[in-house]
Amino acid sequence: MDLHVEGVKKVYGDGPTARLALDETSFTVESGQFISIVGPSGCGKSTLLMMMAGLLKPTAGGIRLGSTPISGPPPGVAVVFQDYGRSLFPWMTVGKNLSMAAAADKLPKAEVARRVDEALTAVDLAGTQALYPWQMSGGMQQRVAIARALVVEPTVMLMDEPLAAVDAQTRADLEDLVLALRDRYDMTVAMVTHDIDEAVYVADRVIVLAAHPGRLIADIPVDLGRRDQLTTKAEPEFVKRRAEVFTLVRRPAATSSAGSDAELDGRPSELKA
Amino acid sequence: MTAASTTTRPRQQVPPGSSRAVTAAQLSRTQRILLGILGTGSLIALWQLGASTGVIPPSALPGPAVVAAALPGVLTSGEFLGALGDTLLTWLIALALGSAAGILIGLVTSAIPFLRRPSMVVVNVARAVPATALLPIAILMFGLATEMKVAIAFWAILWPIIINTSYGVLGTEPLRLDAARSMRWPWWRRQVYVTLPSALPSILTGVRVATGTALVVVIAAELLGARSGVGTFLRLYQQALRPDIVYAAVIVVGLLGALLYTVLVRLERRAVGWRASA
Repeated sequence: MDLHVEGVKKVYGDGPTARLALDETSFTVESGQFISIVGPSGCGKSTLLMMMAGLLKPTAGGIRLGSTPISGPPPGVAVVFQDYGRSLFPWMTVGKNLSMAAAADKLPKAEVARRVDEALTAVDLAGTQALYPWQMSGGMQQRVAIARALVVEPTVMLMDEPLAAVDAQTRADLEDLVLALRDRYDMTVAMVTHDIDEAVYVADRVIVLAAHPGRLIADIPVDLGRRDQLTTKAEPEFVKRRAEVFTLVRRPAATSSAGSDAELDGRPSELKA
Repeated sequence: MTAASTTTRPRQQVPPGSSRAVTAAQLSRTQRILLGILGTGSLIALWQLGASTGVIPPSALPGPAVVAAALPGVLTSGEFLGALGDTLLTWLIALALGSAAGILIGLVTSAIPFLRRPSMVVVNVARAVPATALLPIAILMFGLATEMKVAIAFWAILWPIIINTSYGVLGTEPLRLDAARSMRWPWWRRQVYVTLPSALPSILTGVRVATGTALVVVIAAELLGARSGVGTFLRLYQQALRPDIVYAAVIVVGLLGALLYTVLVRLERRAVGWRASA
């Protein structure tokens, strides 16, 4: 199912303290596509993703999944949050964390068990059901969080900086893992990231946002074929797209008011959706 | 531990609940026992010194030997054991009622946004009234029997438990609630599987503290009027000028209180072991 973002706008607060987090933004994610959303701090990328997840209401505009408008978390859409430590349930075992993800779907027990097994196998964590998340390393915990999203066999997976909290090696592994999972589960994926290399490496399309106010400034197709950590990043297409996105994220001066360079450090970001 | 039964051997973290025990664990078990004996022994020695030099008049505090001699008599006296049973039962009832009511009120008032502020005002006003100050009213309402003691102890622990429960509920990690919402859990399931477990450490701390408070208040109510219980026993033998029996009874109650506290700390650690590393 295509995901349509139509004239979505988000204002936090009201009156004189109101702050425009994301100005009118429209784009469509085609079924099966992998898009990444990049931009400097305060560009509203997380806000956008949370609205796509139905966790945050747009101030104006709307989002449709196929023909169904999203008014709350829709079935078939799974979310992976940035901070696995704060999004997994530490009082539940890994197995329970996963099986509870399907609680709303009212599936037969055996089916839930099968899906839990499959999801854990898919993230290479088979046999860890009895562990508690806090007994695992950060990379493993984030894989548990990803597996939890897979249990509902989602058609759309939304990821909010899912790899920001893990080390570089783990991160490269997880990038490939997420790509493999997209094929295995035949999902549409939208991933927010602040890492430009990562954005270009994983996605079929890069949506670039600018900050203050957050808005869409570019929609860049990436034509890379099969990814490989060793060779992809040396391909001319990767280098070209990376430079393109880099320029847009670093120097959106052509399309924005003054002072945007200061935003790169992320200091003015009061926004945390 | 569950970790051992699986094929993957993860990076092991500090076992739950042991963060505070780390320094204590550096001492061997024997060393810890010896140090405990040394502390208690010094106290008893000082006590003996005070008694034999006459600094402490025996009518106020008889020497340790005299009190120790009174212990077997106290421990085998049906009168004392009956009073002790009475106190413990009262304490248990008050604790159960106070915890149940406090947790329930705390959960409801903090889970429903528009109830938060008004209920916090009520709680803060009510908890400022010391339980023992309400004794005359409680006696008027319930007489001198067990109900009165339960009512006073209930009042004393209800408010702190409500506060601890609210504190725990409001401290729930918002990202976990978002995760639960994204999984399309209905309100009640979010409360039961996210909010309640998040609040549990704080709730259990409240109950543990309430355990001590309730015992103190029950005995105070007995000292100040109630017809039965350890407090009544103490008052009786104080008036009979038998300080040795009074101290022996106080020691027994003190040891019992310490034991109950230890058991509760253990239970708490077991219930919320995940908290240490989460």
